[in-house]
Amino acid sequence: MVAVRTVIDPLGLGRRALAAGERVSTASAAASARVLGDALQRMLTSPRTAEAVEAAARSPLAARAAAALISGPVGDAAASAAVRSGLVERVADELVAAGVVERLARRALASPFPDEAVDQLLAAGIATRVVDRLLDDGITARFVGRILDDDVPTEVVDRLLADGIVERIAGEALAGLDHALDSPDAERVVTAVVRRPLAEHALRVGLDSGLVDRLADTVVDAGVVDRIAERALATALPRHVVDQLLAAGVAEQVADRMLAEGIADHLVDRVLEGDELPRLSAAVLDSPAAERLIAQVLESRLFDAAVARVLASEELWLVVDEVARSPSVTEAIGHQGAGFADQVVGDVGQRSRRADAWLERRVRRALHRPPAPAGARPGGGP
Amino acid sequence: MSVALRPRSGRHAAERATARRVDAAAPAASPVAAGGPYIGLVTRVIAFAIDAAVVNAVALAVGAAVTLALSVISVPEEVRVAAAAVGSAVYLLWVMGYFVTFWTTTGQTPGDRLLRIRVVPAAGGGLPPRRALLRFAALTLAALPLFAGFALILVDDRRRGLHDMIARTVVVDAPGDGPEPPGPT
Repeated sequence: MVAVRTVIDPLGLGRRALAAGERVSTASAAASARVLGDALQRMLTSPRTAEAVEAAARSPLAARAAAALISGPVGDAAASAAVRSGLVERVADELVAAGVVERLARRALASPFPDEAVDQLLAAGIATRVVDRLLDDGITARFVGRILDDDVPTEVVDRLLADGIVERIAGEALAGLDHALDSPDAERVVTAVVRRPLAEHALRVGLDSGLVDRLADTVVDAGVVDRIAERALATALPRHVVDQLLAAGVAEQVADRMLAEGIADHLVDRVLEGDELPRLSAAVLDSPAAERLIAQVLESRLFDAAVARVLASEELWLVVDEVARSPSVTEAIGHQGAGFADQVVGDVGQRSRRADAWLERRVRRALHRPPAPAGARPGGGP
Repeated sequence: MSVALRPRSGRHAAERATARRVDAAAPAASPVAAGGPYIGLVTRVIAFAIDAAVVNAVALAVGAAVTLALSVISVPEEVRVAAAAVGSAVYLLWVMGYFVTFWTTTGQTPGDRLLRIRVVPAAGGGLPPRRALLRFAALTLAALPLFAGFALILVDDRRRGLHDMIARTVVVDAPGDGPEPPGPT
């Protein structure tokens, strides 16, 4: 049977044309991608790009556009849609898997943006509200439990206690900074964006409009934080971020600011008033990780050195003297001493009574007298 | 031998009647029963040694202070002799007062209290001052024949020494540590 296609196109020109078209389109797509990549690379490496970004960032038009975008309903709708569709989680997964978060964190830590962002967040009270939400929803307890199960604190303490760990962390941070500084063009672009008033303005508008609050609520309500934390903890990201944070001193800066702003007091009050602390403490104390952590600290040379230093301090002995002079302690010691003396006297009394009976038996036996009646013996009746 | 130590029944009854009269004149009745268990020689010697230590420690301290004071004051020899005589009398009074006071008030000297024993009349009740004084005198008497008066404690059924027999007292166990005064102080 002769096929219809053979009759219509006996030389197969149509199939060949289609195959050629596919090859041409593939080659053109690859060429376009190469051209686009080259163009992008040239754009990034061009000093004019940084100048253009800088000019755009400086312009009032960009500031107004950012304000409108953030404070308008578009921001809320976009945030809600992103959360509902799982886009946030997928993007977070991709970012974590590709190491983008780590690189971004390293780069951001090298700029003044974290300080400014921390200032803005603390001044707007966002940290307090977010902490309240996290505590109310029990996310903190679950997060800490997950961290304990993963032995993250043990490993962190292990690294901190190891000899020269601080120097090594500092060296790694400097190496990472050097690596980031290897691409000066990209660094220039990022710096232009970060250091310009646009970022600060956008941050302020976002805080004033309540977008951050609403976004935090949406993210917390949807359980996104739980899931992202779960996935992030399954990677090496927490350890690297901890290394970078410790090396950059961010934790100290945040702690200083929180203490200065009174946020730490609020946080402590909130934690003490709630029932999260007992549950969290019970979970921490019951975990094998906490046991290993304590054993590790107690066995470390750092602990011995700290104890020796405390014992050598004059303040300790002042405290000890003060405690020893306190009325409650002297009263307790007096009771203890009286109890001991009472015990000694009672023991002497028992022994002397046994000696009474022994001596009396010997004398009565020597004099051939009958034993003493029951009333004469210790513990005997009348 | 036990027969010689025990009074005749008629005299014993008279003594008990006298004791009841004296006890009735005593300020208060002791809550401690005189039924025993009675305390033996070793415990009583330890308690007496503690009391002797207390008595002599106080006497030595007072005597040392007085002697020190007299050493810087020029006094005639006659005054010194008189002071020594007065000091001896005071010492005797102090020792007598120590035992009589404690036996009369609580039935326990400090040594007795430490060993948790108590001196009570054989018939029960509180020990009157006169009988306490008699017991002290008899105590001295029992010590004179090489402490033979105390050896009676080893053979008497109620563990009484010569002084106990004379004063009609017994020494019993006092397990309760709290002071239970048989009469007013």
